[in-house]
Amino acid sequence: MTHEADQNLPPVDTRGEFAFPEKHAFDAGYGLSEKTIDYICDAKGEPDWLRDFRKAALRRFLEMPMPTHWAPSEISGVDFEQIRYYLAQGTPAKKSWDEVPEEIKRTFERLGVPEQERAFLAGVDAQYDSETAYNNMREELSKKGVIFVNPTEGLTRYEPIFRPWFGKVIPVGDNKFSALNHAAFSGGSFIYVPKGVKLAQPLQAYFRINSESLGQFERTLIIADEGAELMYMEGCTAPKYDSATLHSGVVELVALKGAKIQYVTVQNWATNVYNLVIQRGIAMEDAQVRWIDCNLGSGLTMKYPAVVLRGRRARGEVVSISMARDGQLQDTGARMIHAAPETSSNIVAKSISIGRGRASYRGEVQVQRGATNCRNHTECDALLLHAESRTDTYPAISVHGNSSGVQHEASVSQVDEEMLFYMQQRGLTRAQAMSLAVNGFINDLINEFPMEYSVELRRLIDLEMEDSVG
Amino acid sequence: MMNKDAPLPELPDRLNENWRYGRPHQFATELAGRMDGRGKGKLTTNAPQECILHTLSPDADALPLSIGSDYFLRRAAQEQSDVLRIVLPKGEWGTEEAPLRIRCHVDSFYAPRLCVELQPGCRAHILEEHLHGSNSALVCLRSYTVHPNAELRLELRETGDNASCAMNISRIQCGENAHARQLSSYSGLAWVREETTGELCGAGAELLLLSANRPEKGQWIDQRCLQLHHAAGARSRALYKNVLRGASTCIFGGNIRVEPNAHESDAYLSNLNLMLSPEATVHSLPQLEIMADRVRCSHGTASAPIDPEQLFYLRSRGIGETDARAILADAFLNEVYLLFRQP
Repeated sequence: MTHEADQNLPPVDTRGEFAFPEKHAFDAGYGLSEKTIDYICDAKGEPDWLRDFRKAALRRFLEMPMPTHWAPSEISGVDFEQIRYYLAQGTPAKKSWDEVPEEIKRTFERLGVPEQERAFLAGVDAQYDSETAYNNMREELSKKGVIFVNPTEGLTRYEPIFRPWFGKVIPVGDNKFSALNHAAFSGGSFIYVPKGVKLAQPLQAYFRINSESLGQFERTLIIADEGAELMYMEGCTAPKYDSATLHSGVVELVALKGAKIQYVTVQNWATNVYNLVIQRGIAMEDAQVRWIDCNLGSGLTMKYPAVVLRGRRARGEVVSISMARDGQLQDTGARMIHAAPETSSNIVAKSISIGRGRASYRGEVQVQRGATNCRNHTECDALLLHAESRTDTYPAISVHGNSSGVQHEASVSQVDEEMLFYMQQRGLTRAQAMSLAVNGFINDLINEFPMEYSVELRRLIDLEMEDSVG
Repeated sequence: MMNKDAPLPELPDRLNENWRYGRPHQFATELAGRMDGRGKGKLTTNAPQECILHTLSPDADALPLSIGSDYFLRRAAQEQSDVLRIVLPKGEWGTEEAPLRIRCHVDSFYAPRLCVELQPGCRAHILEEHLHGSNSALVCLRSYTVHPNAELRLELRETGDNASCAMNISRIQCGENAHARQLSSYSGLAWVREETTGELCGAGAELLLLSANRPEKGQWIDQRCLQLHHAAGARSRALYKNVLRGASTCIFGGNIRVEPNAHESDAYLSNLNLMLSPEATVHSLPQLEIMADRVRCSHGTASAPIDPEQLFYLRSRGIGETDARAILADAFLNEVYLLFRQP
């Protein structure tokens, strides 16, 4: 049903290239120090253990080197002193859109979030700069014991549930950006789905950066208890500024025995955003973790969703689409760590490079000692649309023992001229023909996204293609 | 020309991506330690005397390109235990049955430099043998230049006494319409590292890099190759196969790099491993770096045990399990030999 008030709103703008003036009650300023941590902890009213935890992480962050020996050189453009680490309105997350400050509400309405919530979501968490502005979940899910809160609330109100897993899947010292997130995290989602509860509809988080030079360090921890099932979707947008913006999130998934977690991302940050996200899940016995990942935006993305297959017969899957246009580097991929017998995994990655865009696949598959009878299949295909486009593939596969089967294949191709000619002969312009060919290339993967997302994704890809090929 | 006064590059360490999984702290350090002693060895050939030179031509004999081992490249070039330069003019040199031979005897530590040039219209079959004495070490810098319309078939066989180690840093350059194929195989070496850069410098150039190995016990075979497409319209293939027994380890790092403007390149890279032991380990790093369009490039890698159905087929025909496994392992590697021998 459409609300009457919606008639006066501008149309949905999923690219998110608009901004409102900043009105923050809390601003931790530029640079990260112990003072910044104190400021964040005071603003959020966090307990002392969390303050000490953040400070210890800050020390690790300052000690650790940048991952320069293999990472793309573009990462050296991140200037940690020119980032603002905490910007918030100072109001708790609202349960109703009517209570959300007007400009924030208008932002999310333009992005189509409340409309999606009404149509098909079980719950929504909408983050604006550093804090959650809106968080709501259908009442029947609360009654079943499902928890869907922000990290501060999760670690204070539900400490016994979340603290044992907090920072366990991705430890503080995993890499420099993990330490950074542990020190400065704010916003994100903590979700717990109790034993046997299966969510019929997805939960969604929407991350919005509105302010210039902001660092957004959201933190997500999802625990699916034994036999539980859920799908979680996240979307991201930001307006384009001249200065760099940093998005460095940490996402930890825990699928206990027989549980299933699907995590869907559609990333469409502006091109001044460094998108350096760490995503990792643990799958226990008979559990499944599935990452569905689509990267369209940002100047530099480094993101390799991982699954640690720790229980017998666990299964991991990554489906990834990325598109790199002029000035973009999409360094994406996947990791599968087979640490238990009879585990299986599948990776399908497709990338499109347009203009001077560069798309890289970087992956790792490990079959560890003692992990017998494991199976992995990896497939990555790249499409180059122009002579200056670039694509790279950097997989690493390690297999121990003589009972597991691991296969990897990759290919690079371009749109077949004959195919374009055929379509043009039937009345399509070259741009339309190219767009159709690109949609055909990723069609199988787009169908893996939930229906509402796949429609939106096709529209977004058409828009990107119009700009680039037309 | 190399500047001998320039400081040596850093010894490979764990941050060197080209030594990933290669245990640089162990093998690179050990090999560098052995280079301190004076080298001993011998490089011989049955090529006609008029084709042999013992000095390098500064224009023709650029150093081979290393894949992460500039330290060894530079140290070996400084050491220069021996130089053998062979220039083969137009004509037929060697046959499949009686190839032209180059033999390298390694007594203790030896760092020879081998430069072979095939002039336009030359067709050569070359067998290069590296024979190791007890507990010896070799760092061999190899350059093969295949000029336009020349054809090279090169087999490299390296055998040791199970305690020896070797590093081959090789460069194969193919000019316009030049064809080159190399088959390497290593046996009886505690550790070997092969770095091969194949450069396709002209249209119609074709390069085939092959390797077939059967490591066993605790042997390490660390192979890195680069298919470097400089020119448009060239073709390259690489197929590296291993049958692993015992606690052996194989590392394969391959890269297809298509430079800007090398349009219409056609390249394939494959690494296949047959795992016969629960203690064997494989690390495979096939890569693509494509900076041109209208290309056809792909790679594939697979590591798996013997297919039980194939085993069952042979067993049901009365062949014992041990023999059946041996037949299947031979058949697995046979593809490489057939590709090398095909016309």
